[in-house]
Formats: sequence, C-alpha cells, structure tokens
Amino acid sequence: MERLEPIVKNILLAFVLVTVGFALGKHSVRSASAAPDGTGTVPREADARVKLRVYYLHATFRCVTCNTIEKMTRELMDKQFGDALADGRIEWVEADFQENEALAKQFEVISSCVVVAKMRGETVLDYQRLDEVWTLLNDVAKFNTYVSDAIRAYLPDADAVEGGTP
Amino acid sequence: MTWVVLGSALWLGVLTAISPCPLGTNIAAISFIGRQVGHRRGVLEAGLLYTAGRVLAYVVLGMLVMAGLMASGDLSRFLQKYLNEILGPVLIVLGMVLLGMIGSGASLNLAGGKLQARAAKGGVLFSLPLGVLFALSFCPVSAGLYFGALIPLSLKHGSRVLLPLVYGGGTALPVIVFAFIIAFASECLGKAFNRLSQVEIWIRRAAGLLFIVAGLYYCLTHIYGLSPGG
Repeated sequence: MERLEPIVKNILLAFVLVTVGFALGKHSVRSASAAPDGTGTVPREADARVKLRVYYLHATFRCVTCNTIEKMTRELMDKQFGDALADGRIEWVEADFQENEALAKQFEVISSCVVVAKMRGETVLDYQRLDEVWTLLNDVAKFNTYVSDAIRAYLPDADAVEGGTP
Repeated sequence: MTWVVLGSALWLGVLTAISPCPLGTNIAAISFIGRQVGHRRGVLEAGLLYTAGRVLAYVVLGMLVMAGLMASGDLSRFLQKYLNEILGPVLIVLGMVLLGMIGSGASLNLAGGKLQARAAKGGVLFSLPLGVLFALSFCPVSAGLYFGALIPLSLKHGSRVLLPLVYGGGTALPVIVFAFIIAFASECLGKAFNRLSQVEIWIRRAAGLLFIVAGLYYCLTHIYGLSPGG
C-alpha cells in the first residue's frame, strides 16, 4: 500500500497538470475560432415574414434537470403547436449558450432556459426569456401553461393553432 | 417582508441543494464536515463556517447584481464557465492534502502551520473558503434558481441581504444535516465496537477519497466534456 502511494500521487498530480493545460488550451482555441456573427447553430434563411422561434439554450454541461426542461418543452410544442411547427410559423432551435456568446448576450441568458423570440428573418423583434421554468418544473400543468402562454402571446394567428390539452 | 417570502427563499435554497447537479460538491462537503468523528463541536463549527461561506458568496453576489455593478447574465455565465473548470483540479489537490499525499512539506505552509497537518486535525477554518468556492461553482440548476428566481424575488421585495442570506442557509441545510448524521452514526458505530479511533481514520480517508472522485468527475464533465448522459 505504501509503495503504491507515490505512484498514485504522481498520477494524480500529472492528471491535474494535464487537465489545467487542456482547459487553458481549450479556451485559447475557442476564443480564436469564435464565430464573428455569433449565429452558431441558428438556422439561416431569406424568409422575411414574421415568425416565432423557440430556443432551448443550454450550457455545455447538460445536467439531468436541464434535459428534463428541454424534453418537457419539446413535448409541449409537439402536442400543442405541431401544425405551426410543421408549416414554419414556429421554429425550434437548440443551442449551447456557452459556445454561442452572441446569442447568450442578446437574450441575457443566465442559465439553461427557454427563450421565445418573435423574428423577422434573422432579426429579433421581441423576446421573452422563460426563467420560471426552473421553479415550475415539478408542476407540469403550470409549466405547460407558462410556456404555451408565452408562445401564444407572440405567435401570429395564435388562435388558429390552438389545440390539444394544456 | 412576510414569512411566505422568507420561506420561498429558503425553499429555493433547499431545492438547489437537493437537485442532482451540485451532487458532487455536496458529497465532498458532507464528507469534509462529517469526517470529524467523535468531535461534535468540530462538526458543528465546520457546518456553521461552511454555511457562512455559502451565505457570504450569495450575499456579495446579490449585492453586486442588485446594485447594478454587474449584470446577472454576464456574472452567471462567467461563473458557470470558469468556476466549475477550476473546481475539478482544486478538489483533487484538496483530496490529496486530506489523504496526506501532499502538503506536508515546508513549502506548503498555510496560516503558520503545515497544510496537511491542519487539514488532518480537522481544518475547521477550511470550511469557510470551501463554502464560498462551492457556492460560486454554479451549475445550471443553481444558476437558474439563484439568478432566475432568488434575485428577482429579492429585487421585488427590496431585500439585498436578507433573502440571499436565507437562500444561502437553505443551500447548506441538507449538507449539514447529512454531515451530522454521518458523524454521529460513525461515532455510535465506533463506540459500539470500541473502535472509535479506527472509524475516525477511515472516515477521514473516505473524505479525501471522495474529494478526489468528485474532482475527477468535475474534470471529466466540465473540462473534457464527457457528460454522463445528463
């Protein structure tokens, strides 16, 4: 056991040093290759009509609770806004806000969250960041009402896509 | 300010602590505080200092944000991005110190005494910076609940200190309770089998080991990006 200790100690110290070096290298590569327009994975199109974009913005580290929020939001959208998603009035975008700083700054993101944005082409006309998803997570009915109300408030012809159960 | 508002802040804190994402730091904190088997006063002091560290971090951050000196989003994203990356290597080194692998040399003197010797003795004072560090290492859940729920609640009620203080207490509460349970259960076990000193040694070793495991987990998930499926 005592013979093993210096070996374990050296392995751990080497791991720490390599890890610190890796972290520093990762950040320097990221800052050098950051997309200047900050659009990242956001889809681009020439369409200039008003539409709604629902973002699920997450950190690089995906926690269990974050995945639950994404799953609940996506299920709600498929259930209640399936037609609008299909005809393009609503777009679903998932993005890493830690890699896409422009998006994070634009929506003043504080943590993984849902953002509902009214868009014309790629221009954000108005948006709402749904931070309360964190506190409503354990109450599915309230969560669904909160998210769907925010979507309906911005969605053109909202009445036309009403359907399903909240 | 009503009891309902204070209760909400406390509940947000507890909710933060019992969510899965700060589990690594909570386990490390429980093992650090609860490792002083047979020294009830030491456990109590460590627990209080750990709580004080967390409270201090949340109150200072809250004051910075609410005074308009820093934007919630910028601060939250900065802390989530860098603190969790710093945490992994720091936990591994602290675990090695607790196990006596490093820190016993003359070059690692801290506050007039050798680091390892102090840590092994109990290192009650280390609980305060540990509380600050763990509080600042925001994961998505703690950032969402602190910056997205607690800060708006504090702004709404004009409470720059009290609500963040209660929230900080709430985040430490489950950790303290579990640390006490472990410390006293181990003490009872040690006394029952007349092996208190041996139980004490093994609990201390387990604490060091848990720090290293938690540190490896943070390195793999936050630096190397090996997320365990959530």
